[in-house]
Amino acid sequence: MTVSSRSDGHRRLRIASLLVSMVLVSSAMAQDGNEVTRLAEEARQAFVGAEQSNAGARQKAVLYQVARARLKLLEKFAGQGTSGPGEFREGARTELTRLADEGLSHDMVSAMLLQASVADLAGTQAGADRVEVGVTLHQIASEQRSPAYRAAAFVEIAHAYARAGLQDRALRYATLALDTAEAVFETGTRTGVLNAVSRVASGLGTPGTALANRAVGFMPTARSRAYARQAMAREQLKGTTMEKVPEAKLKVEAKKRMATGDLAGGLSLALALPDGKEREDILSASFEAAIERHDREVALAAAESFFDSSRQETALTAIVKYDAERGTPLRSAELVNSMEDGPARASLQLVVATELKKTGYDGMAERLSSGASRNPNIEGMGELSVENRRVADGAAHERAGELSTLSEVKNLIEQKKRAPIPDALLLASLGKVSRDDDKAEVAFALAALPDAGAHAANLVRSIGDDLSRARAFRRLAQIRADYLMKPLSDEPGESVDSVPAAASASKDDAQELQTRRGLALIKVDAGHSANARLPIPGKFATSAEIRSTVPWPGGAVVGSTFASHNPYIAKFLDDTEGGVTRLEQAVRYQGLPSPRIIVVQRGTATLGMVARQLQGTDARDLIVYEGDAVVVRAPVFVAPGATLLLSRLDAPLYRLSANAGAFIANAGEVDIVDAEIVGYDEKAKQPSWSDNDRSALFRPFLLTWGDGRMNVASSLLTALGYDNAKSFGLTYSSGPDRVAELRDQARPTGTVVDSVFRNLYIGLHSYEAERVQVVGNEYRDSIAYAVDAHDGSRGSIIAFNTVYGTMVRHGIAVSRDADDNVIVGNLSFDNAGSGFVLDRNSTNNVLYANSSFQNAQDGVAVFESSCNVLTNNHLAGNKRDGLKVRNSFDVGAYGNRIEANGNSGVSAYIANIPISKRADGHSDGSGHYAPVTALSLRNNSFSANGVGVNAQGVSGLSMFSNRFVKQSRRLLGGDIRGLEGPVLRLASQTDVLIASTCRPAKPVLSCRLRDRGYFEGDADRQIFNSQAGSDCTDINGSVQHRAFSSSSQGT
Amino acid sequence: MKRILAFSVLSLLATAPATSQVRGQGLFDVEARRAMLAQPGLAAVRSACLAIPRDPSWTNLKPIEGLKAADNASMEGGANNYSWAVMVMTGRALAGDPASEASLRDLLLAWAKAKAFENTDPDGEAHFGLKRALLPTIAAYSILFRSLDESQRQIVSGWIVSLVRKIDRTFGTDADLNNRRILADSILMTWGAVTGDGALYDKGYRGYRAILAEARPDGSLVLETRRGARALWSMRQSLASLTVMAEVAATRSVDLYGLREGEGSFDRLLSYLLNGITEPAVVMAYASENHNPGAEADFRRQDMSFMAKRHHGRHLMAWAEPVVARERAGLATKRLKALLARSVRSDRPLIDELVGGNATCFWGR
Repeated sequence: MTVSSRSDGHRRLRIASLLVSMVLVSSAMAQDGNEVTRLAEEARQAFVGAEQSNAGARQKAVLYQVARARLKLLEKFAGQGTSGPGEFREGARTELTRLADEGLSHDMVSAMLLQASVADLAGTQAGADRVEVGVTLHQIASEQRSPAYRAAAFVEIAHAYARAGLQDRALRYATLALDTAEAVFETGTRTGVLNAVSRVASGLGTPGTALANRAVGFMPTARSRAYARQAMAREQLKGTTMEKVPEAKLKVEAKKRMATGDLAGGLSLALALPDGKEREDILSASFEAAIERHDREVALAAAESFFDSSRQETALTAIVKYDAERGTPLRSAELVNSMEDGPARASLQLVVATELKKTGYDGMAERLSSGASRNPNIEGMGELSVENRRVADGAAHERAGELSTLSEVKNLIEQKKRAPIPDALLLASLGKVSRDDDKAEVAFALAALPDAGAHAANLVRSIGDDLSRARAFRRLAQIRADYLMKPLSDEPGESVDSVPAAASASKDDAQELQTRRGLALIKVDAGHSANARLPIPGKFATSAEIRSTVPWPGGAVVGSTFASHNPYIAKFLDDTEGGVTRLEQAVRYQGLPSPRIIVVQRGTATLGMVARQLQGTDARDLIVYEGDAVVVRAPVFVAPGATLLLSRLDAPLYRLSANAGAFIANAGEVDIVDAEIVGYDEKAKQPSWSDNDRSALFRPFLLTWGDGRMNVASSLLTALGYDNAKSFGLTYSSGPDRVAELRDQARPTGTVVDSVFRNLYIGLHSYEAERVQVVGNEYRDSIAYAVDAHDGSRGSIIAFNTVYGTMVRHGIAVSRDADDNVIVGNLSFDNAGSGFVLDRNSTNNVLYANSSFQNAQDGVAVFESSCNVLTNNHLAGNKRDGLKVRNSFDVGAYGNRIEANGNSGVSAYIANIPISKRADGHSDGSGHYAPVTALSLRNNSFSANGVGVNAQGVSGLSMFSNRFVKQSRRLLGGDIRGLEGPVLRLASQTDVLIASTCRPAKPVLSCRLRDRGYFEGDADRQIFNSQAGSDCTDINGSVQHRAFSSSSQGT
Repeated sequence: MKRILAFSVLSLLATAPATSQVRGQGLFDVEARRAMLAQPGLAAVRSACLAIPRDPSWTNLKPIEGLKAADNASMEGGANNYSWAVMVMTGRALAGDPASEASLRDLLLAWAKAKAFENTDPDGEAHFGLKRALLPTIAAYSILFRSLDESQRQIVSGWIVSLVRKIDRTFGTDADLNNRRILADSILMTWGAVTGDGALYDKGYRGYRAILAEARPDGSLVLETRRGARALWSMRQSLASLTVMAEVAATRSVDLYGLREGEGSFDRLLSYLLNGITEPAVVMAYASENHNPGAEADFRRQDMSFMAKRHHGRHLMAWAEPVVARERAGLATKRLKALLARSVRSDRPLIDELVGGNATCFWGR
């Protein structure tokens, strides 16, 4: 036995005897029933025992553990919920106070315990023992109740790991300390934590320097920042050849490095100099050179290093102005937030507030400077302003030619208002318009013409600047909707080729004419026009409104964790049908079975801020700046209560790496305002473009879960989403199930306005969302759908969007129990499917003043969706039908312009549709439908369609005052072919109901639109037989039976 | 109503001793201590009073007109020589050394007549030097009191009054609130007790309560623990002055050691310091603020030099003598006693300006 081990043995013996004596004492006292006194005494004995100079670190740790355990027991006894007599509880409290007077509080004893244990880390070799020690230390530190003690404990562990040569671990604990700093209430103590973090981190290499820089940035006073910078610089000189060189040589070397362009190197030496004029001069020179070279990091380090507070404030103000001038004032958020209240901070706030005010971020501006005078709010970024653009253009000669063209085109449009002109002439003239603002101006003029909507849309489509084009489209959609909202009868110059109403028709009231095809032609009272104004909002969302409410970034807590630890992300670890997880991309990129994710835990952060905050941590590779762009290389999760802001005021471009499996999942709030987000293929160095063939390949996406809100305003989103649930592009979805099972969730919601969505798998998809507003956006080249309000989504407002180029399916779809949605004034054209689809039991929806043209399928298709009103829409030039209605009743189509559709203007029918299957192959019940079709057509205008109205198996079709203008081909087709005469004769002043002689039972349906008076007339309600037991598809000879047994048609 | 009445009674009890005009004792009951020191049982302590020989040249110490901001309180010379001479001779006089008593009287009269320190700079640092010199001067006056005639008392007390007024001012710096303020309060309270000036005594008394109220639940003082490497040093400084005030109050049978303001108590502050001495890292929760840390910029290197005798003879743990001598119940006193026995006792006599001189002599057992 060695001397030391013998000595250790003696110590252990003493400790053991102390513990034994405690047990003996405690049993004696317990017999007396004085449990509280016993515990307190044991705590004291253990504490004092540890203080003995001959106790080794391990023995001390054991004794402090005993003291800590006794304290915890006493705290338990003193707690409110303790059962037993009040004296017992009071006794415990009294003992705890006494112990605190004696220096034995939980945090203090734990701090002692940590110190006694921390040496084990350095003395333990790598392996299980070290892991065990690490776990113990972590537990002690994280259980410290006072944030100051907790942070100090993390710093101690960081130092211990650094001494053991484990830099990553050290960095992790320095980061934990930094995260804890925010919770420290006293400003000075918080500064102390930051100081301690910068001190330990500055010795941890490049990532440590980044963390130290961040810690310094959070310090509230100029003095503390300057001292910390100096200490950091001196720490970093340790072990280098410059560590012990005389001051004079340090100065010379600093200047030399700066002269050779090594700004960072020169500055790092200058910072280590003692305070003095020469140091300040070198700093000034560094600062100016860094600003000139756009090296913001060096400029900031130099600025924060001035001991003279006024010089430091001047330099920091210059950085804030620099950020503002570069259009990224939010980069200064941390800088402004961290400064202590006073004139310097107020001055910075004013600089930023002025910039924010200019760009419409009123909420932020007012938050920063509530007393600032109100500046005129500039609407949007780069608002299309024809006059300003003209003035800005110096090429006067060229402009003169353009203005001449513009004038010529405008004259032509005026002519067209008065009389028809050949389309070729108009198109040739439009082709000469070259400037974007001129195109917009001409398009707006065209939009007010009855048949020039498509030309106007094509003109706007050719505008190059994305956001200018989106704004022009919104304006075009509004003008077009205004035009469509006017009653058809107001339109001049139309020749009506229908048979005029017979003056004597009223005498034929209640007359029922049987036809040989199993139909009855019934005259009924025309009834009322819609007696209630449609539920169209008087005001629609604007990007300015969203912009003005964006919160100022602050109080953000950001970190990283593993995907499997997060229920909102872990869902994506579930296997798909293909046998891989949907996090496969991130798994492969990170080389971890459960990849790391970035978490915005609370507060409001910009994505740039997240990048900066993680730079000093082991998650630094997950999000980085590349030039001015922020590149995200991991899933990002926004926790409930937290807000993530993406704006060009923070960074001009956000790239979500497709290669790294990046996406954003949100259960808090995400505001995307004036931002550009690209799903990016880093290998190909381009947006990760996709099409139907590649739609199964991962692309980044944005998802908002239950309780979450996501606003997108005046932004450009490109190449996002792929064919996988919740991953379609921009998605709002309830859930995830793991969370929903635990607690009630609010449905996800948000506003998407004035933005451009280019090549998303689905531009907007919602699942059990509520009151999502989708207004004034452009959706181009979407793959499956542009807008898809799905699965129980309700209360959406989809207005003034322009949707075109959808590759596989429809433009705007409302599907599967999606109710109470309002779809107003949208332009949907050139889509591979239909312009608009109401599908799978989606009820109580209103389509109003929309334009649907040149789609490969129908203008509007209503499939298995009853109780919907379609009014004042323009359905033109679609390859199939203008309006298609299948297996749906209580459908009112009023005042629509239905022109030049390839098949029918309106096609109403029933069909035998297979029950829909879910992806897992099971029926989900939503495919249930009644094969009953009944609709009301009133005041519609039919022109140049293949057939005017086609009906097959329809139980009831009521018609009133429809106009057939230039409908040179057949007016009616299918079951009602040949009924043109009586229908046109009678339907000008009474409702004519063409009903099957087999009247079906009315399926159960709550039609709130009818209850609220949005339907006109009620003739189509008379087709049902309350006594009937079937839908007539099983009645031989009925039109329903014929149609149902002969057709099966999908969407 | 009952509560209000109870509160009023308690308030009266608390303030009554503070305002009573009992004949002043100062730091301790001089005559009682003289008598105790004459007992054989305290021979060792009496030896401690006489341990430092009197330097005859002290009589000729030239009065200092005033202290300057640049004067360093920790350096020898100037006010430090004066204080040292006064502290040594006061202890010796208390133990019955007539030569020292005579020499001390001459010194005080000379400096009083010369209005020494009157032209001290209106600056925090200069005033700190003055404060350090004042408490030994007051202690000396208490010990000399019986041997001074009325005119001599007038001269010396008039001089001290003038200086006490001088230190009772603020400069708009941390020093208005931190341990230097507590030091000033301890002087006001002591002089108030000596002269029967209730207002001065009360001011110190209120200062004592304010400090306890300001303490964090763990017993740390915000303005002291932030001082980086000097965190424990500064905590100790505060405790030294609080001890003086508690001892002055004790001469009036008022127990400030047992007083509690919120969660703050003397023992809690003391225990915090003791914990820091045992494990300096525990103060890192606050010390890393590194506010005005002094010569050592590294806050992780706590300055523990107060645990050893200074090169100029002082021992900054001198205040522990009265605390330990009271033998109060509780772990704090026991731990301090153990610390004293373990690390400090061999350095006796413990002499320091902040406790007015030779603490071993004044209070030691």
